[in-house]
Parts: sequence; C-alpha cells; structure tokens
Amino acid sequence: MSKIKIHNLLYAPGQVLLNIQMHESKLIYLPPILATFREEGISIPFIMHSLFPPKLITITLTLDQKDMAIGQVAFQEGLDISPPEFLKIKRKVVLIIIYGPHLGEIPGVVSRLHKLLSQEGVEILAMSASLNSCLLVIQDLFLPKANRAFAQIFEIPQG
Amino acid sequence: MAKIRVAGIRQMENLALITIAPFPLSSYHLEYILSPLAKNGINLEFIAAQGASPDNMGLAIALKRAHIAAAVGILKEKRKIWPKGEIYYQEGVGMISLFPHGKRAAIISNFLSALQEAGIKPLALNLSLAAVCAIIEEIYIPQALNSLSDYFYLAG
Repeated sequence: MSKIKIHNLLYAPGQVLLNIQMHESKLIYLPPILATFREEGISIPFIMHSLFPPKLITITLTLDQKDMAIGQVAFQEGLDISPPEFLKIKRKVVLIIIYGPHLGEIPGVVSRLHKLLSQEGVEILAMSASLNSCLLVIQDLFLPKANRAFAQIFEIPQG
Repeated sequence: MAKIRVAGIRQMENLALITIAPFPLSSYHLEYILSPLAKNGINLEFIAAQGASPDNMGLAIALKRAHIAAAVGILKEKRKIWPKGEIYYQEGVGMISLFPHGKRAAIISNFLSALQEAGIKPLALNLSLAAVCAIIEEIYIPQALNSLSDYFYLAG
C-alpha cells in the first residue's frame, strides 16, 4: 500500500491534557473562561467537545505545562465541577498534528494510522480528525513508537 | 466584542452524527471499527475520540447522511467489542467550519458565544491546525452563520 503524502507533521511537546465531563447546561460558562485565557495570553493548541447522551458533555483540551495551574483553577471553579462531573489531568503528553490538505477526501487514513499505532503499542488519549488534518494526543514516552508508525504510512516532508 | 478576522467559513449539510459511549478506546479498537467503514467507501467528515480513561471513552463521527444505514449496520456488527456501550445516531446535522488565523482561545470563545447567542447547541466540536469545526443540527445552519458574522469577518 502506497504512502500517503502529507503537508506537514508537527509536534507540541510539554502539554497537559485536561478531560472535563459536565452537564450540558454548563456549556454557557465556557466562552467566558476561554475569554479569560485570551486575556492571560494562554494558548489552546487542542480542544474538542462531544455531547454524549444523556446530557453529558466531554471537553478535552491541551494546555502548555506552564499554564496548567491557571487552567485547572479556571475550569474547576468556572464550571463549578462537582461529582459525578469531573476534571482529570494527565501530564507529559504531546500533541501531534498531521496536516495534509487532502486528508479529508481519502477514506481510511485514520483507520490505517490506528492500525499501525496499535501494532506499535501506542496508547491514544484523544484524537480528532476533520477536513484537512488529524490530531493525536499521546503520552510523550510513546513518541518514538508513534514516529515509527508515521514513517510507515506517511510520506513526510523533510526539513 | 471586537470581530476577529478569519480566512473563511464553510458549511456542510446532509450529514449524520454517530456517537458511541462508553467506548473502550485504543488504537486496536478504533482500527477495528474504522477499517470496515473505510473498506465500504464511507468517508468520515469528522472524528472526535475522547474520555477520561482508556476504558471509558466516547467516540463521535460525522458522515454523509446517505451512508448512515450502512455505517450503523457495520458498527452494530462490531459491537461485541464494546458490549457496555451504546450506539446513538442523529440525522439532519451539518458541520460549520471556520478557518482562523491563530488566536485560538479567542476564536473558540467567540465561536461558542456566537452559537450560544443563536440558541444553538454544538453536538460536537474540534479544533485542528487550520479549522474549528462544529457539528450542529442542520436547520440551525443559517442562524449559526448569521450569528458568526457578529463575531468574525472574512479577510479581504
């Protein structure tokens, strides 16, 4: 099977992963929290949310390690997280961005990618894909194995 | 609130959203599910896999509405690997994608504010290098675009 040409393969190391599960009614509090991030100069390299029945929202995002303390307080207090809701943090993760303008037009890219990552024993913490890119969050210790998988599936531009 | 300049806005209609939760996410399980979809020519327009632990994840995928019956059939066949999980699907959804220039926290904040102001609940959302994508009910796409124009403006 031929390799898939991609435009770029980017890494954001030194990230922390925040997983928040909360009632959907609290989504209204998210924009003000993110506006505070903007004012504090905190970048959000990765964020996604999904609504899972019944009425639970899961938000997953990564922040730079240096912004973790502010981020944790902002979400914990801003969203008034209380059981059974939760906010969980995983440190030492790396965000991987596979950017290929045509990825969204090729069925099976993510499937092939996960097959190889599975063979390498890479545990994926979060993943999103749409239009033109695929983002993965893994623990940094898996990065060498992930790179071996990428080299098998993608034609990675040099330099 | 100051409007933010963006490179473009795109809408896709005639989609369906499938969510599986809880889903025991691992590379193996994802490939086990996604591979038969790909082999049947079912392209996924949107994928979000997330959760708090490897055995309690959620998977949301959006695909063309014409493929929903085939996709759900395939997923039900594969369901033995996640016996505790449920498959939910919703037709009549669409995707709005915004192509920003940096300012990610501000972009997401404005994007969610615009949807909230229009009374629209995003069913799923993700941020990639070049785009913010949200899955919403298709009937709300015109209101969403209208509200987004209060928070963003197109370059050029």
